[in-house]
Amino acid sequence: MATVKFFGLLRIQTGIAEAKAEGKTLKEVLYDIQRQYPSMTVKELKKKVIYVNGKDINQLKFFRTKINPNDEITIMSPVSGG
Amino acid sequence: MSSRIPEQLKDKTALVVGCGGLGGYVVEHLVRIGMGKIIIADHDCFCHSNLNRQLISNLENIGLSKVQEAKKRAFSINKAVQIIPIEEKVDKTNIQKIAMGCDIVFDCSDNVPTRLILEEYCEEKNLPLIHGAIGDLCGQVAAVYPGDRTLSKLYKDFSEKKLPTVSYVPALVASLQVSEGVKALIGESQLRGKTMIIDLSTNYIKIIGSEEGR
Repeated sequence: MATVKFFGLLRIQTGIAEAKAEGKTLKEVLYDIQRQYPSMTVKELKKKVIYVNGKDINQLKFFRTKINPNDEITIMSPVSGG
Repeated sequence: MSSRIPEQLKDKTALVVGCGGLGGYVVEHLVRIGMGKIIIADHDCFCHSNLNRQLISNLENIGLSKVQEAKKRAFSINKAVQIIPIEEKVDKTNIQKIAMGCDIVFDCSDNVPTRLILEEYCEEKNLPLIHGAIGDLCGQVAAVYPGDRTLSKLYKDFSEKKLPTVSYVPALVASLQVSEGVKALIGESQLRGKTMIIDLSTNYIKIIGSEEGR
């Protein structure tokens, strides 16, 4: 299972910092997150800034990015206070 | 290396936008490490709610200008530093005038529109922008160079939400900002095109992003 880390507003609002999720692609992983935590919908998660092993998914294959069991996915909703 | 830092910074000028939680600590560090000139921009005055996290605030300066108080504090530490306090809110119409002659910009703002104005200005003027942001027990730091557009990517679908925080969060994030800023001024920041994210609730610290965007 891949490790999914939630950062920033997403972590603060849901209280969930980390989850384990299954899926061969990022899209499947997001659906597994939604199944485990219905408050985090795929529609909303797709709007966040997402990295796989520290790499922006815009530089990979977006939601078709292949996911391996040891991968770390970071889903972030940045903070903005000063 | 550290002993040579003051000598390498004495002819440099830094602009610090925002003199609250992050900005107060950033100014403090810059004054103590020997930055030659610091332009500090903030239109606000100190209030009681700042006391829990803003270094320069105290019971004696409630109601007084943040940038003027920052100048007073700076001179009480280092009389050689040149401080230019600007009591204005940075926007598209005044950024050119406020930032004139600076070598680096520290983004210590408290709102996304100002941050994006700074990114656009630094892109145009070929300046490094050292971004810092905080909320709750989270923070992020990035060294944004022309072409990176890190902030436009981070805040692409963003709705502003003010979150309370505690004093050690701005202290940590501001220290990292200054550390990367010094590297940017005397070489190149290791966070170029990347973002360090920090969540003190779980001690999760990670550097994300890559160099492909350059």
